[in-house]
Amino acid sequence: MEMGKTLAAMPSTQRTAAKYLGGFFAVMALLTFLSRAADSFTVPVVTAEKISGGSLEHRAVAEGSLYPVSQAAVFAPAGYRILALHAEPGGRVSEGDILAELDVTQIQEQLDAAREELQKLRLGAAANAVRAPGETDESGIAAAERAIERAKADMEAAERESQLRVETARGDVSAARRFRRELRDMGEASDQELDEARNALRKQEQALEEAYLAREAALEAARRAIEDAEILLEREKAKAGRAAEVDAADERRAALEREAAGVDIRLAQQKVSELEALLETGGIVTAGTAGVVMKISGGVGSLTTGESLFVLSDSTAGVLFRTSVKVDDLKHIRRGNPASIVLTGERYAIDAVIESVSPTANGDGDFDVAAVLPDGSWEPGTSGKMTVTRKTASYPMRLSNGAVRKDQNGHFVLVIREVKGVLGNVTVAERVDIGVLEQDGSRCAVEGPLEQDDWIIIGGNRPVSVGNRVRLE
Amino acid sequence: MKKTVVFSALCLLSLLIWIPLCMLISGSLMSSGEIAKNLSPVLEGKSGFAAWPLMPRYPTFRAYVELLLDTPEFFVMFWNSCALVFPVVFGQIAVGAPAAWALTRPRFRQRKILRMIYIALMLLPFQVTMVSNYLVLDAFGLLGSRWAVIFPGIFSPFPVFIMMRFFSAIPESLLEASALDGAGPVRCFLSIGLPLGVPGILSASVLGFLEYWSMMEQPLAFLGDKSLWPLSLYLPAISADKAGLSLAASILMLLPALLIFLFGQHYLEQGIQAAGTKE
Repeated sequence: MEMGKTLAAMPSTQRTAAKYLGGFFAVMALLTFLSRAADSFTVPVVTAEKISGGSLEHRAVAEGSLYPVSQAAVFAPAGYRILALHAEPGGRVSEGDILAELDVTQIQEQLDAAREELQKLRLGAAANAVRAPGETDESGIAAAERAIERAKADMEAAERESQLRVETARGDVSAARRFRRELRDMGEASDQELDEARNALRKQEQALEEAYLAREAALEAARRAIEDAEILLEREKAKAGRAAEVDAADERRAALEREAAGVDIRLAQQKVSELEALLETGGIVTAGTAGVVMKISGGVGSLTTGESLFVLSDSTAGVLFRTSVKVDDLKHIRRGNPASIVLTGERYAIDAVIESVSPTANGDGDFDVAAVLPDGSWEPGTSGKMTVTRKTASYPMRLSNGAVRKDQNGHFVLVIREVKGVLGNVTVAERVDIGVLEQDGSRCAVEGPLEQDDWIIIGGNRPVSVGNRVRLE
Repeated sequence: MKKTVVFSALCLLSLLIWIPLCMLISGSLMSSGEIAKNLSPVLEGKSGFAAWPLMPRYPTFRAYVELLLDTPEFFVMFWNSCALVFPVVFGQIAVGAPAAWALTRPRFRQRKILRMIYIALMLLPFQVTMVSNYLVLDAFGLLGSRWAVIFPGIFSPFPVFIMMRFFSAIPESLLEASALDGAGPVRCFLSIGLPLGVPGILSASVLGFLEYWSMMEQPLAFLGDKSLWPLSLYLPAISADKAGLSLAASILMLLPALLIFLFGQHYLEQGIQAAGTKE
């Protein structure tokens, strides 16, 4: 009332200013409240934890299924139509149980064809056995040798004949000389006679010279004849050697062909025997051992492939839990480690022991792990989940994985620190760089300048960055 | 005709004074991108000259919304300013009015010396008295609290000087008459001095409010705790990339000062007259 009177007494400008001033402060008070309310929405509410000491627990979880320790395959020859199947995967069978029936008519047809094929192979082998005798070409060598002999004999004859001629010519020369000497000694021979005698001697000497030449020519001709015959002999011998090599290769080839034919015959015989045996059983495939049908390759109406038609387990030999793990998990799995297995549909875990760890056959870097289950009525083929846990040594500082953050400068955590500011003491997220020593699925061991009382942010209702104001939940 | 020319000339001159205010208002309505573009030669050292259009190209209240709804720090400092300024102003009235009365009315020998000391103290700027203030406040254990700003403000000599001029304008005969009627010195002050000195008190209050609303040195020197800082220290703390926020804060800071001025304009003019005229 008093205030109203005072305002009424004021000049109008003053009155308006006073009203606006009051309104201004009222609006500011309202906006103060609103900004605080907005702040409560925008400041992240975070959850935090303090560091704790202790060990990490590495846990490897892998899905797999139960396999029998021992398995038996049931085979059927390839290419036969399956008329009926009397087993299904997971079904239990006894030894001798009928598993499948094959098409008998088709078997009979194939048996007939196989027998004919066998017969054909045998005949072919017999034909090959009748082999043409080897033809050795000796005539050329013998002829050459004979030619040498003949040439040598010709040479000797020519030598003798020419020698005889030389001797005869030499005797004629001597007789002519003697006749001339006697004629001269007698002194009564006319000059004409002497000239005749001299001429006769000259003729005889010329004849002797010709005889010598004729002998040399005859001997040379004979030597050439011998050389030609020897060359011919060499050629004949080389020809004969080549012919012998060709004959040996033909012999080896023929032997191999005979051997191949023998193998073909044996295979055909085997096929015939198999078909006969199959026909004898009436095309029925039976279980060789008691167990559970693990796998069936093929269906009714399809053809057999020659691979195992059925895989039967031998459940009496025990079961293994088999799974495949990544190489990262492998460091926590060792042979002999305990493992916990929960089978599908079961509520309780089974304690098992790792039996073997080996690289997978497909070479993808994964590892096959097998664990032995204790005695019990385990059904091969049942799927389940295996968990292997391994504890590390104790670490002085452990944090939840959610508390550790990473950027290009490395790992860090956001610690809630109280700072003085315009708003008074407020809590902000402060960056503290740390090193991560080891990490498991939920926690990690760290090192760094952290205190036992530090609250480390692990999450919040919205993302938190370094320097943000935060509220601890 | 002559009046029109004078009026036009005065309008043109007043425009020079209005330009900063216009820039403040238009800047507070600009988007941050537009401000950055206009001020890039200043803020980012780019070539050319900064431009400042009187009208924003795309006016927006974003800066006001952000300041008023998403910046609780602004309100903390706003109320800090109120918590400092209002006690100072009320304290100046409570302390300054009796002091001004005492230095005006009662006749005693040292009155002139005391008035000289007051005027001398009033002429000393804050920077001169800061160290002695600091030592005294430290000795009293007031450093770091609001009282470190409030007490020196309350005992400021300037409002005493303003009020002295008003009290001295009260006719002496009026006081003598009241004294004859049996009124004592306190009664005279409360019943005659204060009602007649209201214009002086109010003009001193307005001047005190305007002075302390924009004070910077005192809180910087005596308040270490940022949570006690007044709004006048909020404006320099805003970075260049939040210039829009800074301009909006300037407008809001200007408003109470403007309203207080309008409220006390009449008394302020009287105060100036009182200070400028002789009995």
